[in-house]
Amino acid sequence: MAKVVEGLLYTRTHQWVKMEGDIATVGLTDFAQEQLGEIVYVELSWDEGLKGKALTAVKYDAKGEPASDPISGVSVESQKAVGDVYAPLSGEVAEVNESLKDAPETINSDCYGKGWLFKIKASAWDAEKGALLDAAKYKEIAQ
Amino acid sequence: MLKQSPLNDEHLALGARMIDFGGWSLPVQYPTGIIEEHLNTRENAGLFDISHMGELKVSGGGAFDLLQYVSVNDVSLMGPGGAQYSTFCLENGTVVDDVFYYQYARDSFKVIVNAANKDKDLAWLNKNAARFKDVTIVDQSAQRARVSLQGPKAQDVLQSLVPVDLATVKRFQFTETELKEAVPAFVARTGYTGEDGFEISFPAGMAKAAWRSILGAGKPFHLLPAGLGARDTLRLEACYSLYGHEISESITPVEAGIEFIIKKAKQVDYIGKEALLNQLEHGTGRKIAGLKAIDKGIMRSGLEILDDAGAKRVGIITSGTFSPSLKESIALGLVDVDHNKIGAVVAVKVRDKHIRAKIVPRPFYAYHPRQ
Repeated sequence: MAKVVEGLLYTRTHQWVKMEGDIATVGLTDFAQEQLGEIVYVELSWDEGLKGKALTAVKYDAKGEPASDPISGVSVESQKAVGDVYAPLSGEVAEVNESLKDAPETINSDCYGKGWLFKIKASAWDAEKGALLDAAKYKEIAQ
Repeated sequence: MLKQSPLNDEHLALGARMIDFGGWSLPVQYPTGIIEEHLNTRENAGLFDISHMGELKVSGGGAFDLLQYVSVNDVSLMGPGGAQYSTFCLENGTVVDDVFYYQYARDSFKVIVNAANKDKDLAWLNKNAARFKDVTIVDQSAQRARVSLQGPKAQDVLQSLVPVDLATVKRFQFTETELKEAVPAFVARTGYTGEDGFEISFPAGMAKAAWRSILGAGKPFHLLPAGLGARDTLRLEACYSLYGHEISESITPVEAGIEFIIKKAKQVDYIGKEALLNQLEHGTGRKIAGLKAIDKGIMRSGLEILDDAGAKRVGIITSGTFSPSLKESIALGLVDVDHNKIGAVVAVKVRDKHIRAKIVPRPFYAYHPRQ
């Protein structure tokens, strides 16, 4: 059973969000890392740089599937699959977890801690927070 | 409804993650994970369920001549008790399937084929059997189960279960023996990992007992069950072709770099002979290459290979992974010969960026015989 941490907010695309002031830390959930299996490479636009990039929050269709594109130049690759990453909130990327460049497996071992992906300076928190799920709601889809 | 191996319940009990593999529900990994299953197979031993593969019996006075006719390799080079890797090809030299033959006698062979190609292979054999007298082709796939026991400790594990001295069964040889609990077993020293090891076949009804006794015997040797994920990374390091990737009905054995199976001295006619000998003599426009990424990123099957400048398409990735043994991003690709030089740098187009990669000698991991 995948671990869901109380107090965090979640997306239907299996990411978690931790809001502190106007800065949202974003990572993959335990369910997502389990589904992917052993992560061997994380692409966070290392060459171009992700910091400062403007993101637009993911939109969903009636079925709850993403109806907008994942973040370009960002992906999480395991031995068997490539995982897209969506923006949970609109805003500018404030910080990137550089340690994932050489230690992508940190997402497997500590997805809610050292395996965070990036931080967003949220620009529309009040308008967008309603689309995020609490732990109880997320538990229903993380299986 | 997916087809299930006779060992399906064993995989579920071990907590395997099951996937749809060409219509079969099979374990891609156990809770140990692909990387550990891979490394443990290189270091100790891994046990793979390969029951999805096809197992055919070809027998009768015309069996030898039929197999010679559909085979690229020379079946006469293999004696009783021997095994041989080969392909069935079309007239143009492209590959119907890659197969393993095991010869009991000139009139009796076991043929192991790819799961997804089994029906096609049966039709191909039956169609061509019409040219020969006295050939019987029987599909034994469902009546039997198959496992692959691979790794430097494979012989130690299996020796504790069989009366025969396994040291007398050399690479590409096989024997019929009995596992503990009176399980009659076909044991061949062949594999798909780059390690020493055995492929073992037994009656499907005895599969669970056999699987459990092998795992039990393997405990002191740190044998672990391993899934399709590790099977793929192991074979890719060893540069063994995978049907649908390095070989297919649009790729020939010469292009795939397995021209060692084409024997110039093979006198008799066989399907694809003219095309393949012609390719051997004159070369092909493209050829398989080993690639190691210079930049970070995984070079997956189907991605385009561009020239160093990233301007011109010069090939396509056929298989790629992160190599657990080398800790590097590796791939095989079909590359135009004028760009296919050891040491040359190419660019692999991954979504919206280019990963530079260097063409390196194959294999990435040389076959590792028993010490």
